[in-house]
Amino acid sequence: MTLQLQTGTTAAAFKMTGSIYTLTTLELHSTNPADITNQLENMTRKAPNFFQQTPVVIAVDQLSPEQPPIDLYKLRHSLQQFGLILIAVRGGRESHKQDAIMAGIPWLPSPKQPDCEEKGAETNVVIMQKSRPSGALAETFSQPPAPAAAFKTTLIEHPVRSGQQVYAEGDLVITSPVSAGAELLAAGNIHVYGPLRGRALAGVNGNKDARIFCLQFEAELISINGQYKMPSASDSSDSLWGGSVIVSLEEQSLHIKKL
Amino acid sequence: MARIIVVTSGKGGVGKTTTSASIATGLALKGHRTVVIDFDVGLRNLDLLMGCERRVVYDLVNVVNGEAELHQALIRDKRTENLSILPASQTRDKDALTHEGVEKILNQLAKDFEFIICDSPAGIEHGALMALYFADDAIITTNPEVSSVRDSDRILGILQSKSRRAIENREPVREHLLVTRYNPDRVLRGEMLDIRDVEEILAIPLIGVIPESMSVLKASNQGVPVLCNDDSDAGQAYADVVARFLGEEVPHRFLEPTKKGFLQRMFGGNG
Repeated sequence: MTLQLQTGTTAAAFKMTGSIYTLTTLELHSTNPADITNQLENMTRKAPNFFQQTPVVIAVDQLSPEQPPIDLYKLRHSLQQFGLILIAVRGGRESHKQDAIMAGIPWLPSPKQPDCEEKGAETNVVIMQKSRPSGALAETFSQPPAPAAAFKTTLIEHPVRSGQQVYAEGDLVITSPVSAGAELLAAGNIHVYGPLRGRALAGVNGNKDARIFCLQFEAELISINGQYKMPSASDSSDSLWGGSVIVSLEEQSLHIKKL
Repeated sequence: MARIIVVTSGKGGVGKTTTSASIATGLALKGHRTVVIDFDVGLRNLDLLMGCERRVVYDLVNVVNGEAELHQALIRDKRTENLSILPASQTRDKDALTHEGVEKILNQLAKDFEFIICDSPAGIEHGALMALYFADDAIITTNPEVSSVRDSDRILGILQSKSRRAIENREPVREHLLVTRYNPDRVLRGEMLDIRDVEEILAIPLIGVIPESMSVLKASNQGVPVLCNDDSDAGQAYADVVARFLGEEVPHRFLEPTKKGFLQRMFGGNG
């Protein structure tokens, strides 16, 4: 959330709007201040200007319970030395939340899928760090790299057999047959360049624009954004069975069209 | 390097043990030192099909547990040179097998044999997983009917994910499709899946088609692998499979309906 000052002639002193930002996250694996400082030192030495004035979120959800509690005051101070500004603490146990409140640092809940999203974002940070000339401005960094990571495509080149399940964070592309009893799940679109005989669920994280494409349509079940249909050969209303089709969601119902 | 071949299917009763016995015999007849292991602990059958049930003293589980030496448990086939059988235990269950124990036995066998055939139990549980874990090749035995094909598909998925080659990220297990109990006349009548349908669904190379034949049952009951019966179509088909496995190019046979003579048509003879 950000505050926007309105300096115009309107009566309101400010306008409140919601915004989404991509932020650097430090996923803590240790609470030892010396270890953290060492790593920060190594990291910032390569690109001293890169991290200037960079807001960071500390994620504590990956910390093992054996780790001693974090000294947030100290951590905030050491981050500041390297140009990073601690703006929030994310996840963790109730004690972490209390500590954050005590230190006057906002606390954020863990995202629902920490694995896919955070890892995606992290890898991005590393890539940027390497490819960037030193002295680049911090502002460029705040260009959201996350959407690109979120739509990463998963390619499967071997047959997906009965009983196997494939999940893709973004689009899922399969160049082999998908057997009956197999299940494909994708946050994005599903493309099958071969027979689709199993189940295909696209847009599983709530994406009604996701689509399913296949060259030989014999699916047991198709679903987009939770709307599903169980097609069958005897559904003679369409001669689409066995052919190339595109499945889309239009006004809460699934549409199957010849490709 | 010995090649470890698992004969598996998922579904029971499709002809895994018949296939193991015949392929092992066929390889040995071609001069390759071959051992066939019965992994169906608790439902020992291979020794019956090989006609050596009265010679079983020690078994696979005894060797895994260190109660017997490997050479004590191995049975040398009386009929065929170069062929040995490692029988399963009838009194134990499949949980008696461990990765370490099986690996040790396979390593030992690999020193003396060129081919190690593992006759898998049905199902996708521990026993079947043990049989396929170390495989280099898999012979997927399938009957031309939907449930068998579905189960074979499932076992192919398991080979892809749970075999040692998959886990160690090595070259995947070589898969061969073997369709057994194929009856072209019944395919024509729509009672059985066509070989092309099975191939299309499973999408792996076809190594052979064994026709449905009375000689298979007869051979089982006599304790002689059907491959030894040169007169039978099933025996010939198994010989073809062995030749193909060894890299020979042999055309597929027994895929077309039999042309019945007048009398056969009258009395419905079984070919």
